[in-house]
Amino acid sequence: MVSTSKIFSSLLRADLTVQRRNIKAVLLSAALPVLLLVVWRSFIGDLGKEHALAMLLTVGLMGVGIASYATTVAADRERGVFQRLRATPATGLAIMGSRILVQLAVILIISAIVCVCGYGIDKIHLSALGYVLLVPGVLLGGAVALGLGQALVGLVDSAETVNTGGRNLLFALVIVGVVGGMGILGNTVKQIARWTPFGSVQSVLEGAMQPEHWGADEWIMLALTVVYAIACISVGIKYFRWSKA
Amino acid sequence: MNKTNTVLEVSGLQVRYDAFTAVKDVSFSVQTGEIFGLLGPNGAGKTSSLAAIEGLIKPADGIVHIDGVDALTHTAEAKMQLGVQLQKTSFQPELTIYEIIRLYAGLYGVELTRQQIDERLQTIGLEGQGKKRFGQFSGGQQQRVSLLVATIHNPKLVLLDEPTTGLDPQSRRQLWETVETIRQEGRSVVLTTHSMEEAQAVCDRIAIVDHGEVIATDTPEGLIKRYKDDPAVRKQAHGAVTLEDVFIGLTGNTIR
Repeated sequence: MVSTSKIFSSLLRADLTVQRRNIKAVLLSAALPVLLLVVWRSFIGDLGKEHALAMLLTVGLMGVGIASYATTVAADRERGVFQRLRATPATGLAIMGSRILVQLAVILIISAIVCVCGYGIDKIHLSALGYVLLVPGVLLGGAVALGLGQALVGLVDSAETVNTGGRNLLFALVIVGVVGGMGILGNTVKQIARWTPFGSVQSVLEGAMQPEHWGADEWIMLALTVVYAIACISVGIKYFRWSKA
Repeated sequence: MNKTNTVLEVSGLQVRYDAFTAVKDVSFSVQTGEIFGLLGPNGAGKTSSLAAIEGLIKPADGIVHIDGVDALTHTAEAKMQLGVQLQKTSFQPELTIYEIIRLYAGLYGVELTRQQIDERLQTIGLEGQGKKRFGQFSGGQQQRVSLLVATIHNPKLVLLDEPTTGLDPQSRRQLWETVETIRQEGRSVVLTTHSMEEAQAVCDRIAIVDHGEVIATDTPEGLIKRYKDDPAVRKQAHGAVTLEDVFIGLTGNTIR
C-alpha cells in the first residue's frame, strides 16, 4: 500500500505545477485590489487605512475563491480530470485537500502582494502583531471564499454556468461590500453589507490588523465568519459531484 | 492475496442512480491472463458496471473482488491492482506528459526517473515527446498515453472503457496489439466495446449485457455456436451467423 503522505505529495506537486503555469490568474486576482489602491489613493485616509486594506484584501480573497478556484474545479470536473484521479488509490479528500492547500497558499501570496503594494503606494503599515494576526485572518477569509466557490460548483453542474455565475456573484459581493459598505448606497445597504460574507471577512481582517481595538463587535463578526465558512463548505461538500451528470 | 486464478469476481452487482436502476444484476469473473469483453448497446449498463468496479460509484448491492480483495470495503488496496482507462480520459491540461506520468506513478508509489519515463514513452512510439501536453497529441497517441498511465504500476487487471472509439484503423490495430502485450505480460484485461470486430479479434470471452443484466457469456465462437439456431438470431443473419447477428438477435435491433 502507498502511504497517504506519498499520495498527497504527488498530488500537491502536480497542483503546484498547474498553479505555477496559471500564474496569470494569480496576478489578475491581485490586480483588482492593487488597482483600487492606486485609484483610491486620495481618499484612503478618509476611509481609514486599515479599513481600506481589509476591504481590498477581501476583494482579492473573493476573487480567488469564487472566480479562480470554482472555475478551475468546474472545468476539470467537466474534462473528467477528477474521475481519472479517483480511479487511483487517492481519496477524494486528498484530491480536494491538495487543491485547497495550493489555493490557500495563493491567497497568502496575493494578500502579501496587496500589503506590500499598500505600503508602497499608500504607506499603509501595521504593527508586527497586526501582520501576524492577519495571517490567520486571511486564512479564515480564504476558507469563506473557497467555501463559496465550493458551494457554487456543488450547486451548479455546468462549467460555463459556474464561470458566469461566479463572475456575477463576485461582482455582486464586491459592489455590495465595497460600494455599499462605504455608505454610498444608503445606510440600509451599508448595514446589509456588513453582515454579508464579504462584510464579515472584512471586519475580521480589520480587527486582526488592530488587535488593540478588538472588541465584542469583532468577536461577533469572527463567529459569523466561522459560520459562513462552515455553512459554505458543508453545502459545497454535500452537493458536490465528481463528474458532470 | 488471491490463491486462485480468478483476478476479478463480480457477483449480483446493482447500480442505481436515484430511482433509475442502471445495473440490475451483473455477474462475471475474469481469469489471470484473460481478455474479457463487455458487449452491449448504449445504456446497457457497461460503463456503470465498470465504474462500480473502479470504485467511482458505490453499488447498491453486489460483490466485487479484485485479486481476492473486497473492492467495496478495501477500496484503496483493490485499486492498487487495477489499471484504468476511462471512456473520457483527461489529464490536467497544464501538465506535460512527463508530469502526468510522474503524478500517476506517484499515486501508486512508483518512482520513475526521467530516463525511465523516456524508455516507457519509447515503447509506445512517443520517444522524446515527454515535454508535450496531452492535448497536443492525436486521438491515437492520447489513447496510448492513457494506456501507459493505466499500466504504470503493473496492475494485475486493466479496465478499458471503449478504448478504440474514434480511432482510425491503424491506431485501433496498434491498440489491440498493446492489449495483447498486456496479456502476454500475465495481466488480465476487461474492455467494453461496441465493435463486434474488436470483440472477436481481441477477447477470449464475452459477456453480452442488456438492460443492466448479463444475458450471455462465452467465447465469441461459443456464443455463435450456442445461438446460431435461435430464431431471433437467424432472422438477423445474411448467410453464416456472425457475432453481430447473435448480439442483435439477443439485444434487439431497436436504436437506443
